[in-house]
Amino acid sequence: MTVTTSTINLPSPYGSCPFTPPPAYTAAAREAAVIRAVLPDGTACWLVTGYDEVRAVLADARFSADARTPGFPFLSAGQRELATAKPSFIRMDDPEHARLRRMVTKDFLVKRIEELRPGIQDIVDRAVDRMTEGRSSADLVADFALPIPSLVICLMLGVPYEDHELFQSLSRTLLDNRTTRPEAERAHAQLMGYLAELAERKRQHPGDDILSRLAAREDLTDQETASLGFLLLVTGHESTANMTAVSVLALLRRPDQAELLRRDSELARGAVDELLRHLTIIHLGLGRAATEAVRVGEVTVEVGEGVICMLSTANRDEQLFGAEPDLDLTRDARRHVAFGYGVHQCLGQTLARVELQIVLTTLLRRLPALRLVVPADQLTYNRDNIVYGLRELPVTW
Amino acid sequence: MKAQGTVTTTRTPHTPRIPPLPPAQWPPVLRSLLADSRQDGPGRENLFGTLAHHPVLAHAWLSLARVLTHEGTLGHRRRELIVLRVAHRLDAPYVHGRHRTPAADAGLTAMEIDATAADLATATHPWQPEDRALLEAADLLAVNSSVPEKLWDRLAHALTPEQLVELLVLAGQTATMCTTLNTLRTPSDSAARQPSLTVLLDRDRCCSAGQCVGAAPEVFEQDESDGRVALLDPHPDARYADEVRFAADLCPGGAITLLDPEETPHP
Ligand code: HEM
Repeated sequence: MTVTTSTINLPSPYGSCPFTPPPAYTAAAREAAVIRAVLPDGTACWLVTGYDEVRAVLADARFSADARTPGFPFLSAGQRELATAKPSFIRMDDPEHARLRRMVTKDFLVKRIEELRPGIQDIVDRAVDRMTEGRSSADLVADFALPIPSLVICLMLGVPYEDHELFQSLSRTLLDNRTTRPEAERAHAQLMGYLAELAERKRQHPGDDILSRLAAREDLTDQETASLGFLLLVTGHESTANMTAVSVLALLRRPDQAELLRRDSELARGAVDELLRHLTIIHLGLGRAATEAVRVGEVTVEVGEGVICMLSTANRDEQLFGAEPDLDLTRDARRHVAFGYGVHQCLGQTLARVELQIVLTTLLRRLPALRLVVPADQLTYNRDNIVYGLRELPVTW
Repeated sequence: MKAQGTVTTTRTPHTPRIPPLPPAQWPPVLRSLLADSRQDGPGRENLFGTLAHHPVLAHAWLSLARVLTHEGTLGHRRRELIVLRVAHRLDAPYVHGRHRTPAADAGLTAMEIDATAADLATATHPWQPEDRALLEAADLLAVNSSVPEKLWDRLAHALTPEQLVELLVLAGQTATMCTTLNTLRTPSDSAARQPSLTVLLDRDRCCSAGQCVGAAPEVFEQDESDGRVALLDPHPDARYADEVRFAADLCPGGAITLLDPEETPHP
């Protein structure tokens, strides 16, 4: 039945360049848009690398995002625990998914997020002040990239920022593929317990925030409220933080591109989309399981078979984005799938874009001499994490 | 010589001297300014498209316009009277035509709006004394004539010093706008309007990702009551057709369908 005979082991190791998808994925994409793959636990699935095919799968309701669907592909045991035990709507199908997503869509409307710009600018300016005050070097990840989106999502949700160490370390554990099943279970329970308790306090003393509004609703169970808070808290800070750090590194490696953006902040919108495309930090792909036999490209995915949609190769489609894969901030990259596609497409994308636009333009403007304090090849990456990122980014200015 | 002659013969009085830029080429801030000031009335694409040739100036211009429209002290009715009269006096159909909607919103009747384009001395419209003073002032200010003592006293009797200063600046900005658009022969938007495709929405499929608003803010918005997509214009003008096609392609939920006489140029 299959057209190609090759099989690829997932996840595949990176090559020498930290900004290029693992060479095996690129090679697979050259061979066919859909090929056979094997997961770490030995089960078979399909790897989808082509742009049209990735969009087709993610937009097709016959592919389930519910991890309890037979055949759903897992890259680790911890992921299996997180996704199957008490899933949030990112791992549910419609109509349940739509019902829960719509509880929070109003808080992420383009207009609402645009109104947050001045507040975010203020948070970013203070983060630059704090990072640079009285010292000449810092870890851009811990001292800048992580606090900013954490503060923003805490304000939106109504989570006290003082608790950031708790939720930041639990999120890291949950998104790490090396986390064992019992570890994931414990971290999940701890964070859910924290949010359930917070929601209860909001019910008594409501504030002007998402968690208070959710806690006041009669059509949500306590478990659903905590789970919505959990999803927004984890996705809201971790991806943007990682994206900030790798974007800064990408710009440090390409001073010409940094200079373009520094000179013309109007470029920020397009530049952020190009960085999202180029870096595709959801680097391990998105999993789905077929609930019917579905033709994808040249192959038929049978009922109960899993697929992994590789966003990074789709984002390097030569017809759409040109043959030159390197960073080009003037490229029209708006068709990228770094936020996914279909009904699960990132709910926080407008927020993430606005945060990144402000963070990058502010950093370039205020710290024009920003540079690494270690050789680039000594940096370590979170390659086992669902979200690609840097452990540390030591910089001076 | 010959080449020059060719240029002048093809340039009819209706061809703009500097064509307005299409929205796709405006700086994004300008597009969001237009989208955000939708309540100020339709038909400003060509004005914005003209200013888009000079983005920094556009920004300054529109800041002043915003203050006069939303933070002014004259009140909407007086403001629209002055704008209409200056536009009539300077023979600027773009501005007069486009201000009919905001003027009606400000409480001017259709008869009053028509009367702003008639001769004050001979026409029979029974203007209230204050309206009349404003119209007479607009006639003079439009062409930079001085305001005689008697007329000034009538104005000063009705208006505060703050309102008087604003009146002069408002008349001046309107006159500049009329002169600019007339000199460039900028066509009015209604004359240039060309519906191209029809947009159909399946709101049940909307997942509020916001892609359509990012791609074509002139055509799509998000309904604040339920967070889902809504249409500002089901038959968008031809100048937005490419962006609308782009929005339909980006929509992750497949909520946008186009009845498009030209096939979607998906690569
Ligand atoms: C650069 C930053 C970000 C990237 C690259 C990113 C990427 C993604 C991707 C690829 C998905 C789709 C998952 C799937 O289909 O299985 C997703 C979903 C989601 N993202 Fe983001 N995200 C980012 C920032 C944010 C932020 C700031 C929030 C704010 C709360 C957020 C909230 C969500 C939510 C709630 C979902 C689930 C949507 C659903 O299942 O309907 N994300 N994100």
